Amino acid sequence: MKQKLGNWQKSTERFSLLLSFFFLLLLGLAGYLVKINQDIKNYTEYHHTLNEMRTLDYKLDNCFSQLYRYINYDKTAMLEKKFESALTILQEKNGKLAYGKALQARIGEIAQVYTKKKTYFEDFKALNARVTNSLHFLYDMRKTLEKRLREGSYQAVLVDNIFFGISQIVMNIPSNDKKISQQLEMLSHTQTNRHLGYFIQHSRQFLNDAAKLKKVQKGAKKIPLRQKINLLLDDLTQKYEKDRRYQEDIAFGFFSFAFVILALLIFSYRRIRQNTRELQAFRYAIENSDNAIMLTDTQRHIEYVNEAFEKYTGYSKEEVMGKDPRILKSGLMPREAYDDMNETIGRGEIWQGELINRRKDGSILYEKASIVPVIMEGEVVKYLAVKLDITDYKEQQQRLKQAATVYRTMGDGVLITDKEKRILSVNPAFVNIFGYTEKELIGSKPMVIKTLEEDAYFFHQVWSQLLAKDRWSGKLYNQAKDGTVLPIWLTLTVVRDEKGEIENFIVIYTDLQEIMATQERAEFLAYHDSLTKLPNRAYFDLHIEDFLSFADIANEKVAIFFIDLDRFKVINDTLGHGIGDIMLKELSKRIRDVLDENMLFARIGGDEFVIVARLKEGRKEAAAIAETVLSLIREPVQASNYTLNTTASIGIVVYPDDTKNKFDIVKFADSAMYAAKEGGKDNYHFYNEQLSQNVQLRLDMEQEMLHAIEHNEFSLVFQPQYDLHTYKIVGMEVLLRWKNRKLGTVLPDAFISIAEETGMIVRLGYYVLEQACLTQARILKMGFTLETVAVNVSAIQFRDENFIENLKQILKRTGIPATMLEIEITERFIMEYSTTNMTILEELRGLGCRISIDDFGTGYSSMSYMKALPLDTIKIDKSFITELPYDMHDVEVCKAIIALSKSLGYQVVAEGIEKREQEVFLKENGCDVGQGYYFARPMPEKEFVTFLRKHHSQL
Amino acid sequence: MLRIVFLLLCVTFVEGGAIKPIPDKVAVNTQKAALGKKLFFDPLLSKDNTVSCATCHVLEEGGDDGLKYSFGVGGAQGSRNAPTVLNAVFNFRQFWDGRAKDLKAQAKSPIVNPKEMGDRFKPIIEKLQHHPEYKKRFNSIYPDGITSENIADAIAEYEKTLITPNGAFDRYLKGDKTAISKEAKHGYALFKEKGCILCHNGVNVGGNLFNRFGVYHDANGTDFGRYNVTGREDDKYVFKVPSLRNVARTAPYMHDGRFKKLRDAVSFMTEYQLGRYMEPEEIDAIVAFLETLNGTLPSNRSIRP
Repeated sequence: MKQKLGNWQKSTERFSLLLSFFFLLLLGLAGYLVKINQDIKNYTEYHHTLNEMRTLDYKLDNCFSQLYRYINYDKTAMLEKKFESALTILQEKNGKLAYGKALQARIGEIAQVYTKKKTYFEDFKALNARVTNSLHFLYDMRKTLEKRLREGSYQAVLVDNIFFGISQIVMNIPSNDKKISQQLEMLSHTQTNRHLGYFIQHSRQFLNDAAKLKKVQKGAKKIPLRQKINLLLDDLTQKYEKDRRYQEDIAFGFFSFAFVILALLIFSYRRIRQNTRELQAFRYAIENSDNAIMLTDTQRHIEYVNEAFEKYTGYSKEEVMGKDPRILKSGLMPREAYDDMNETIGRGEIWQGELINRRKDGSILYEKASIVPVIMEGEVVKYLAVKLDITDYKEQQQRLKQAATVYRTMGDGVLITDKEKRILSVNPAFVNIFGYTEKELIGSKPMVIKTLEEDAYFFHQVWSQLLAKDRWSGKLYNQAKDGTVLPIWLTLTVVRDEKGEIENFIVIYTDLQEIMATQERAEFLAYHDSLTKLPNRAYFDLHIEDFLSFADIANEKVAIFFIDLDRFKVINDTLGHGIGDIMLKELSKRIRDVLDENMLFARIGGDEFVIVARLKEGRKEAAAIAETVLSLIREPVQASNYTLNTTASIGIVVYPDDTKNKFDIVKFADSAMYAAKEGGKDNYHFYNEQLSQNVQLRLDMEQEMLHAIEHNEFSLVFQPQYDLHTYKIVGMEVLLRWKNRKLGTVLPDAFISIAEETGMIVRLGYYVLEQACLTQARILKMGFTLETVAVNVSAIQFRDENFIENLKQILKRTGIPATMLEIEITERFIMEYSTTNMTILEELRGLGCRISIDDFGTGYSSMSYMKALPLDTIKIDKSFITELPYDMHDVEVCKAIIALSKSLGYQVVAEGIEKREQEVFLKENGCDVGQGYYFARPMPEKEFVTFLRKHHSQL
Repeated sequence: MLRIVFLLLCVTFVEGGAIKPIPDKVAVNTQKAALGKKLFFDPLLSKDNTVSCATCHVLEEGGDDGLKYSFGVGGAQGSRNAPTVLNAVFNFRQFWDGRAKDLKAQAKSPIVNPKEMGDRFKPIIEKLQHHPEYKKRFNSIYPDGITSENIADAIAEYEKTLITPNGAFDRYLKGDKTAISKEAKHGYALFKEKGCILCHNGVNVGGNLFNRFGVYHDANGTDFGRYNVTGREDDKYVFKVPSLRNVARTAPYMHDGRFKKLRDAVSFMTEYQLGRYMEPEEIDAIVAFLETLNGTLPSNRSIRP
């Protein structure tokens, strides 16, 4: 191929060389013909000119013969001019003609001879004019003299003789000039008059001029002008003919040469045609090759790709023309591979290897490639890449590799036999399972793995199904080398060749032993709590029915206990989950240990447990169990270094007395448990119908509350807060009221918790905040100076991630400075969400809001919290105020709270002051602000304003 | 017998058409002629930029300057009477001694004659090169631009246009028998009869041959004439026979301007050249004829410089 290409290139080069040479030759020939043509033209002109000169010379000679006559010299001058211009043409033309110096010399001679002849001619003209004048005069004179001279006188005879002599001269009759001169001499010696004097003068002049004229004529005749012209003409013709012959030879030479070249051209053309055909065949081969073929120039710009290339890569010819083959690069090849390739082809050697490229659609293309530098005349002129798409092969190889890996690493034992059922190969897992090495097994039959079920019928079944469906699977037992019997899930597969003949059997042994164990464990995990190992909610759900149906059959009652640890969350939050978990484990163990085995004890939530027990004696028995459980829980738990005290609340439902519905059981038990919690915790509560009714009430409330804001059912009332020492009203607490068309007036204690549960509290909270601020704004506008407006905010509200932003908006809308807003939070909130909500409190403080703790003293207040929290105000819960100043316990608590708050720099507010002595006590003990019916009840805005005005006027 | 011979001679004498009218037009290259006209009137061609061709060849005054000898640059005086430029194209040679074969050859001469324009071609060409218009026009006409040849060629081309057709005698020749007076007709007859026509014939009434100045008597000339050109003894005192066209306008006469009056010139010619005696009436008649040779002077507008 390369050689062909080389040949072809050489042939075409020779062809074009020949062709250009041929054209050059033709051009030369054309030029030469033009030159010949010009020569002929020049020769013709030259010849013509010389002929004309010859004619002119004749005419001149003719003039010379016009002796003694009047001549119009314009005509002669014209002859001269014409001759001269012809001569000029010759002289000028000669320079252009290559006629040589010989002709030039001849022309020079002509010019020279002509000049001489011209001189004769000018003389002739002048003399002729003069002799003509003389003759003319003499003719005139003859008449006069005839009159004047006597006939026959001496003078007359002389005159007559002189006339005769002159006539002879004029007629070119040989004459005796001497005799005429003598007679003139004789005449001049006679007595002359004026006329005779003129006669003598003119005759003498005539004789003189005529003699000169004869001389001139003779001289002119001798001038060889015509001979010279003829000579030149001959020379010219000779030279011309010689030139013509020479030119013919040259033209013939040209033609012969052209013919030879033409022959060469035809020969060369035929060779090129042959080469071209061969190359076309090559090209056809390339076009249709299965190999992708790509040709680039030395700068690696693609010049050609074949169809296979298009097919393999998905790029069309047009797309890749002029591009760098790097467009195919996948980035999956190591750099070194390319370096090696570039280095190899850089040396002019062929590079062979595999390439990982990318098709146009992004898929990977494996190619086996040869890259050939095409070298012509020792120089790399192109690169040829021949590539085979081996993607399928590669992928298959990869799949085989993967299959091999699976075969080697899979947990199932695999055994492959030939069609005679002789073992060909076993995988490592097989070896693991059965203890035989591969060596021991190769060539033998799989029956070495004895099965316990050597049942001919069973095997017959297996065989027939295997041959029919090419596959069988089923459970059976095999024996390992060490004799262990293993439960095995066996899969038999037949491998057939293309004709459908059996080639191999593949046997897969799945060791069920481990699977079965795993399954059991999974089942356990699914139904048991991993921490306490107690049955979990799913187990409970699954088995409660069994219990109940069993009870139905046995006509027994079943008690379901719903146990919830009180304040378990606090322990988890404060001491960490680890402690919480220890406690849960400990408590569940204690309970488990005392319970009867027949009872079901399950953990169904974080701190929620259920006990299902069959009752033989009724509710008393259930109460006893509950008491036992409560006492077990009440006992302190030692976890790490902590001694933890906790209690539980238990709700009890008795089946089928309370309900026969399985789903109601849990619900009812939950209600009963809540009742127990509300009943002060650390106790149990049997379910009764009242509880269900309460639940219904809650549902109604939930329903009604949904549209309560839109229906303007909520209203705000305001209770003044006053300085216990000055009686100045310093602020007000905002309280919420709900009056529903169905439910009537609902107390906050009832609906707030529902609102919190349903999430309604968030909307409600914003409503209250906005209304409170608006009211404050109106009051301030009236000219009263209220320092703060206190609003209770639910813990749920803080969970709204936009809370701070929304609060800012409200403050901005209403124009109330943040410092005027006091956010009241419950002590419970602090306890429950201490860490998570610290940031919110900080942000509120950051805004400038005041923060007060409501119902202080009812929860688990901790000194450390008190110190750490960003607080402004502590509100003593009214339960501590009611019995003041008589209950000593309350007195001490109040004193302690006030002292504590003071020491921390907090303001103390006492709420629920109803009696004078309460106010006095608080005032005396340093409480700052009071609030309560004694001073003023909560009032709607209008009343509140009236109150303010009145109070203000009293002060 | 003698009588017969002389009759034969006589026949040749009466031959008609000895004088041809001047053609109305001579074919010229108008571009060259226009350039030539500009040059003809331009004193730039002289050494001190004072003298032009037109200084001596005043077209309105018969194509010469009316002086015996003309004055050139720096007041230098020439030695021959300036011949008219009018109809010079019809002369077979130029100059009194015929040393120039045509107008082009003639035109160069006065430019470099120290007594005429006194310049040289090299500085002239330089002067013209610095003249943007000349440079442009020469370059547009001549491939080799401004050269002495081309300057002369252009001037010669212009001079071809300086012809005086339509003279009274030419009209007479063309058939208008009333164009000239009876006396002039008589003068023409005498002109032929007395032999003047032998030398003064053709279109230009002369200007087509040389002849000796003073044939029958010594004319007392100091100028050797054509001898200066050829060196031949026979050419001593030989001059070109001048044209008689516009002769009445081109006094003074002879190569040395020796006569101021045409009558004197005719009288001199009769005696010295023809060896005759003519009655005063005959001379008057010839002068009357000669006056009819005045043609229409070339219009200055025919060619724009």
